[in-house]
Amino acid sequence: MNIIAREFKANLKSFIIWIISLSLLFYVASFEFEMFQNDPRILEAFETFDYIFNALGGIPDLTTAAGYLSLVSLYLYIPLAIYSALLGSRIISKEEQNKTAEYLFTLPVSRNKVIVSKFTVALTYTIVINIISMLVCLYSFGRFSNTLDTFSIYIVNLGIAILLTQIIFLSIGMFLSSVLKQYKRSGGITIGILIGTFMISMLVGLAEKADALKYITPFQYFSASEMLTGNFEFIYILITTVIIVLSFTGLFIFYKKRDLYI
Amino acid sequence: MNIYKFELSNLKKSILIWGLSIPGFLLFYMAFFPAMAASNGAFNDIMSNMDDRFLRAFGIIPELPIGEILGYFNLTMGMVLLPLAIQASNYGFSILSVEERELTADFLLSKPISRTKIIVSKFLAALTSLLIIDILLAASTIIAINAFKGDEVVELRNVIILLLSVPLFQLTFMSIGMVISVSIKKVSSVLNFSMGLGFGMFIISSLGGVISSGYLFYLTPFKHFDTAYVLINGSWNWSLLAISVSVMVLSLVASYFLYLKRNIASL
Repeated sequence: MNIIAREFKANLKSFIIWIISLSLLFYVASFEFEMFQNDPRILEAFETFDYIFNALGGIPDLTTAAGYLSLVSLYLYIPLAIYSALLGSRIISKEEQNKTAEYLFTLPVSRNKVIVSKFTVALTYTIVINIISMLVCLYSFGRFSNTLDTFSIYIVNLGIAILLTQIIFLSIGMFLSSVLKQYKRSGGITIGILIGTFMISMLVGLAEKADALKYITPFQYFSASEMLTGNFEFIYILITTVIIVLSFTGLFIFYKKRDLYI
Repeated sequence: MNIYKFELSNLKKSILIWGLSIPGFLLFYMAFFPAMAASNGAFNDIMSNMDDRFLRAFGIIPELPIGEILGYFNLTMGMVLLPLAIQASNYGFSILSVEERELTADFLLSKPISRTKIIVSKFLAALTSLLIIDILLAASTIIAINAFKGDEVVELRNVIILLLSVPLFQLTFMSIGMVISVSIKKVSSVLNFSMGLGFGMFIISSLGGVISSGYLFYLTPFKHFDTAYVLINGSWNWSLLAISVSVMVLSLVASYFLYLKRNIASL
């Protein structure tokens, strides 16, 4: 319990900074939605070119809160995934970086208990930041929306989709920082994976030929436009579960044997 | 000279990784162009009939259709600028703070050299690494455009002007990183800061595409070095560029003086 309390405190500052900047960003974006919603030219263009959007398969109706949010939702996925990835890799590796590993592991607690505590804290922060940002979106976009019921269902779906993406990166970050010999590497590699998969995800959206790549980028597993219909595909849920289970199992196996850098 | 060499050899691995992955990614992205161009002819025709402002909301620029290689290159470059910014801010945040974090500051600062010399050597080492990446990037860009353009005739002049702005773009991010790292007490995790700066600016600039009001453009170097503007007009957007350059110069001067006076934590 002491370790959990201590970790909550140690990671609180970055949590607050992230949540404030994210909330501000989306609050500002919601004003643009208001302009979009009431612009007759945009509405007219939408009616005329309806079939193109259907053909493009997924540019949503920007005049509804859900449609607009799904257009900008990439900027929810990415920062939240970065937050979780960094949190996961740092919560494990910071003991070695700050030279507190020696102190921590001479205390009469097992390594397992330390890891379980850190895992609990990381997961809690991940879930809390997800819920708060979804509530901010619900409030900022919902105030202009006259279809609040469908919008709040969308927010729930989107929240789950983003949470799954976050947990994938959290688990990768925690796993890498327990398995890599040099504690310094884990953050960089996790972020490398994140940027790489993000850029691949953009490519998948752009070029049809790159379609097969969508299985390797978590940002395509539960995309915001799929969430409009609440469509969680089984194959992606399976891949996600496998990644998460493998990473967390690896974390518990490898950290116990880790040769700590002191 | 010793510090410069030491710093550069410290950065060796980082140069190798970034130098392989950024140009590699550019080539990979560009390799999808021929297939795209073949399937998108009809789409381009429809797009050319649409309202300008409407297209821009989706990030589509009428002068640079993605069915043409320069249009596609513009999209690619928009993505590649992101890792370039993150690399530069990584260096910026780390070069002046690493000694304190790894408790080697005592060792370095007790040597008979001035702080001026330390900061200048470190800065030049990081700058050298950035330039190496930029040269590799430029080379792979030219290769990619020539390899994938098909039978299109491409005027490379604007592309080269764009590539020349990349070092300046990176330098902006690096100097912002440097000034922040010397004005705060401790940079506990470089990645946290560099991701915040790099990705934060990227997100503001991408949202700026959707948000048409335009004030956000003044905030982010991604817009100051707008790739589409250079590719269309063949010159830099001087008035926006001036913002980045003045921020850069101010940051560099401020980091120099702040570092000279910095109370460096010792063991």
